[in-house]
Amino acid sequence: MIPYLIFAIFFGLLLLGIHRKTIARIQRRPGPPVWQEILHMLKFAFKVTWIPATASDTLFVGVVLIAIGIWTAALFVVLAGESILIIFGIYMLHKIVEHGFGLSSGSPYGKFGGVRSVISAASEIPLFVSIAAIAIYTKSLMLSDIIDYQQVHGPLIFIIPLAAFAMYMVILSKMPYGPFSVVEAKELVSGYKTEHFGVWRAGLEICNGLKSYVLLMTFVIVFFGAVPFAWLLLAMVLIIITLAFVCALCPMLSPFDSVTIQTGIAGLMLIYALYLGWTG
Amino acid sequence: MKKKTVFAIVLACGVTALVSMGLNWAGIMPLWLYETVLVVDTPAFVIALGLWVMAGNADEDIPFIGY
Repeated sequence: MIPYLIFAIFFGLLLLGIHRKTIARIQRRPGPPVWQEILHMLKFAFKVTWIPATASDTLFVGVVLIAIGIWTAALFVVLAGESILIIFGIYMLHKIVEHGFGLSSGSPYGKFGGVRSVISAASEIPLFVSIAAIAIYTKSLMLSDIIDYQQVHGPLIFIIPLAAFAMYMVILSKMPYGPFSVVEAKELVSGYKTEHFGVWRAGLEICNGLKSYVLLMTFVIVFFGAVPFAWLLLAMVLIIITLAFVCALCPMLSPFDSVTIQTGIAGLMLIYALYLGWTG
Repeated sequence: MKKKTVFAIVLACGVTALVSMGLNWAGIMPLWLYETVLVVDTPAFVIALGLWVMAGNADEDIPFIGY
């Protein structure tokens, strides 16, 4: 587990680097090397660190520990083939963690980032709809059962494509430089993570690497089933490249538009889930 | 936090994780317990390792807090 955990952190950060590089190439910029996010994490880990005078010490440090802890737990939940509801719960916890990051420092930029994190909670509703659609077909929320179902009936992406789209939107809403990245928009410097520097930022980078790895792995397992490890990694790279295309070609929305569109998508997905429940 | 204390956390977390891995490999510790140890250990190890190497001794700064 320890080697796998280290691998997941580094591969997740590499995925974010590929994401960033692809966006740059689409926009005809050279962009940073694909391992830039790994270098970022290592650089921050060994920078001089302290806690700002205006910060709440406990919250400032605690959120970093919780952020890494919850996504480590999420990785083990997916590997064990446990319930997708636990992943959903951890995703919700991450929202609270983002809010905690923003409020802990005393900086208004961080606070605005935290507040935007809360107002964009509508982005999580499609995940709920996606889970409901999966449950209607597979009669179970255990990842191991979902894999078994797909071995008999084929990949779920062909059976419930809109549920896959809903989960894709959820992952997109968590991608940096995307249309829904209002929590870390440049007008807020770095949003909720503005005042977390040095080792605190390194911890956040580790959390982001793990989060990317877990969310993409969950997407592949839930909608394509059990695939060989090499294919899993390749699928994750391909999905992150498609996400990069969306991020590169769509401008960042204003907070109001971001919430409106996310709520609209959530509404459409709810209708889809009701339709599936009615016909299925 | 003093560097000595932080180093103690690094050591404690590292040793606990490695011992857990050994015990799990030997079939003595169940997988769920090993994973629980890692969930608690990993964040503390990462943060304590960084602080042990580069924790600043200078005074805290006051970030921008608005006009």
